Amino acid sequence: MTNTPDHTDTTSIILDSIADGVFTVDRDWRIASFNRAAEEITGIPREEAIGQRCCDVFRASICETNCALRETMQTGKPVVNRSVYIINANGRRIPISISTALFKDKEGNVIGGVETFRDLSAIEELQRELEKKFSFQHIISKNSEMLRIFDILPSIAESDSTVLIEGDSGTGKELIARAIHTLSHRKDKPLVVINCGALPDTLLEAELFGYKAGAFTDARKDKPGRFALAEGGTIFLDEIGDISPALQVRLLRVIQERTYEPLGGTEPLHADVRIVTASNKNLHKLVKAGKFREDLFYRINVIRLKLPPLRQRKEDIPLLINHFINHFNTIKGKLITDISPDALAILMDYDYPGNIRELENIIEHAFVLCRTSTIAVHDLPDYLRPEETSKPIVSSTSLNELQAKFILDALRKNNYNRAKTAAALGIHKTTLWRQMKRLGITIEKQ
Amino acid sequence: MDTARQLLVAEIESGMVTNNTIVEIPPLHISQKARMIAELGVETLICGAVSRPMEQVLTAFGVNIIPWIRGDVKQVIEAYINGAIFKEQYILPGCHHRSRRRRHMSNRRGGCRGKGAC
Repeated sequence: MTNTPDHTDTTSIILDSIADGVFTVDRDWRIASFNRAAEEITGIPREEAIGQRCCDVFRASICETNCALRETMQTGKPVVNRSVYIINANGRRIPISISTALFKDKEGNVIGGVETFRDLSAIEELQRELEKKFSFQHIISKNSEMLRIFDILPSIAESDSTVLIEGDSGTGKELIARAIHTLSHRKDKPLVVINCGALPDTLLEAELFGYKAGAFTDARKDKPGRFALAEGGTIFLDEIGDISPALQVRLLRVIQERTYEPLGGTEPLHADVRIVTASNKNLHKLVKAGKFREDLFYRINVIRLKLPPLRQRKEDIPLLINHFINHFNTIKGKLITDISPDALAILMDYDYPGNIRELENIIEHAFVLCRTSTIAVHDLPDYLRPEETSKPIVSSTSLNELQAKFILDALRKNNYNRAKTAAALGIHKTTLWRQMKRLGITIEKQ
Repeated sequence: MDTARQLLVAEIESGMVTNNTIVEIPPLHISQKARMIAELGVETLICGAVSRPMEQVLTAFGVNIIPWIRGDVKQVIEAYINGAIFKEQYILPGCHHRSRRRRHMSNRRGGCRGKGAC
């Protein structure tokens, strides 16, 4: 005759065999069962946990303010995969994801709650490794174009050549300039940054080249310019497309002859400075329009790096969000662990005219409003939140216009990749191409 | 302690609590939080679970910390005054090994005077 384990034994054997921590509480929040994985994750032996108040055992970041089990008990709704952390018996912070459910008797009366939790330490460690892999000199990306730039950046830095960085506002031009400086032999000398678009022309000239006492009213003593301050190092001239034709000539001389004269000075000064420039405008177009000197353009365009806007590297959005969450957790003293899938979907769908800086601002906004450990849709700025009711279709909009808008939206979401867009729309790519042609949609125009 | 929002600061003289104040703790980084507690003049901090980094920063700010403690705040303060803080009923489950080490350290320091917080 074989001994068959009773129902309670079977349940505890099953619970002990799984890798997730599981505990149950009675209506007084006292722990009624505590499985083997719960012992391992919390570091607390079962016999010490049973009968204790769950907050004394579990010690999660949400116990005091936002208990998930209490929420389930009150609303009857389960909590699924909420990221929090606990402090184990050795004082270690353990990141976990928790899920909760009600515990009912045969009559359907609530007799307690059950909480399952998964140790995310290994996943967090892997995420950190991935971040290291996709991080280069404080620039984070796994976009193929950005990874190509990461690859060539050390060689560019070593070369000492003048570099032109092009990219929309907020794409990280200054970070690239800093990386070039840090990786170069000039790293122990200063990196001087100046935004040429932020200063009026006369002031910019004095800022760049300095002035001698008596050069103008109030110039009582000599003032060194940014070129002098950057001696031996690197000068980063941001928004170079905004400088006047007169200053373009002076800058050309510095680049060509490596000399300049401070305002009111008579002796030319030698400049041992590497010049890195950046513009959010297409300098080649400015040259064609006669607004930027061609000779200066070719002097600064020795090496050109073009940074893609964030809408073309959407694969970086989750990485960047994670990075900004960690960043703001540190400086704002909060313990936000992640972002809800709904909120992430909204951020993935957005076009970011302000690029990474805008994403950073969005996360900072969410940090101010977020009262839990997860950024939710209602923590995002108003302009990102979906409207409560869908917009009525304007009667004058033709079917073709609607189709064109629909296809354009799909293309945008798929980074203008036609194969991906066709797959997302569930049509063959030749059908998509035919429709685009019929509706007059060209990718170049986007 | 890492996520605590309130602190009860008790002034103790000759084994008696002479003053009690509740202090709200804003969401700060652990080092800022530790500095704030130190600047309140807290000599001894009695708390529940605490992460190692938080414990180390508090110690660096000169706060004597008695962690892994649970129970009603008034009873805990009384137990502290009477030297009974390390009784089993006040120790969080699974933390006896850590509190034993603390007990030895506290005994070396001796006594319970000054400003404490829970």
